[in-house]
Amino acid sequence: MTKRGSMIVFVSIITLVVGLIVGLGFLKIAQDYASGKVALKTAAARDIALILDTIYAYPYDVEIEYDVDLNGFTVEICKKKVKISEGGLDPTAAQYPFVPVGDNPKFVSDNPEKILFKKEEGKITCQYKNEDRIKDCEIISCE
Amino acid sequence: MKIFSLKNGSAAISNWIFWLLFVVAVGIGALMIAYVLNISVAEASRIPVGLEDELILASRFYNSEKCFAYQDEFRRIHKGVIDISEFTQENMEDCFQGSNVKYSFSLVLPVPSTSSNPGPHLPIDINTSNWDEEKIATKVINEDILIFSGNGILTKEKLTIAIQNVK
Repeated sequence: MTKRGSMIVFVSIITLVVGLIVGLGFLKIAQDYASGKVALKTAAARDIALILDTIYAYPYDVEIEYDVDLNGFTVEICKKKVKISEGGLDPTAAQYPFVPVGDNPKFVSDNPEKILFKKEEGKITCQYKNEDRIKDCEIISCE
Repeated sequence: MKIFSLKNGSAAISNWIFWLLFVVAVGIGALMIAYVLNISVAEASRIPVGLEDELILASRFYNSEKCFAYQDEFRRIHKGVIDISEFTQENMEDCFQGSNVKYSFSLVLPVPSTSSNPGPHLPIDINTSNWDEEKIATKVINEDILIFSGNGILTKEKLTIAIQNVK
């Protein structure tokens, strides 16, 4: 093969690989939008952020159950933001900010079917239901 | 342009101008698709006007003891009663921490005259850390509150809350 020919083959392979990655990315994004997953992630992130703001504004101890089924998603509460993704590198992950009062919650829950937020002495704790078991939200470092 | 004068396809794809235009075209296409799809999603999950800023975020200022709500010696918290000694810029930093939230607030509290401290007094003005002094408030609300000035004295007043849209 000539030098010029090998260059064209190389460029073609690169083009195919890039095209495949972009194409699969578009396919995943299109599927997420069409299935309503993006809308669910966006709405749930906003719901949870507003719930946290409401809990902080409420002066007494309180428990709130958020019973929207988020099985298949990871809910991460970190850096004063609620992020909902399908784990890993999710191009359609949704996030929404909230403002804690004298606190800095750092939680993650995988595949929650419902989430229970509890405020005692101004500190928020979190549990979630998954496969009929109640688990504590994992505390993360938010790095 | 040189790219349009090339005689065959293989010459065109080995030209850097072709790849530059290709990347720009794909990028613009992707951004347009993402923009159009995001409009429909944002509309479906739109938060009603006044819910987040007026009802949820602003209420912490006069309801939470970590903000300015009065807490008595039995640790009871009195919603809607502001302890004037707690109404400071320093407490505001803890009450409304820096965040990417879309709203900023400026509070103005009148200082009531008492027999031990007769007036007139200038009102106290404190802001959240993301408040922009150069910008005009998007809206201003007045909340009916009671001010606790010590020795069990309660005065009915209005707390003025100015709200800016940050983004």
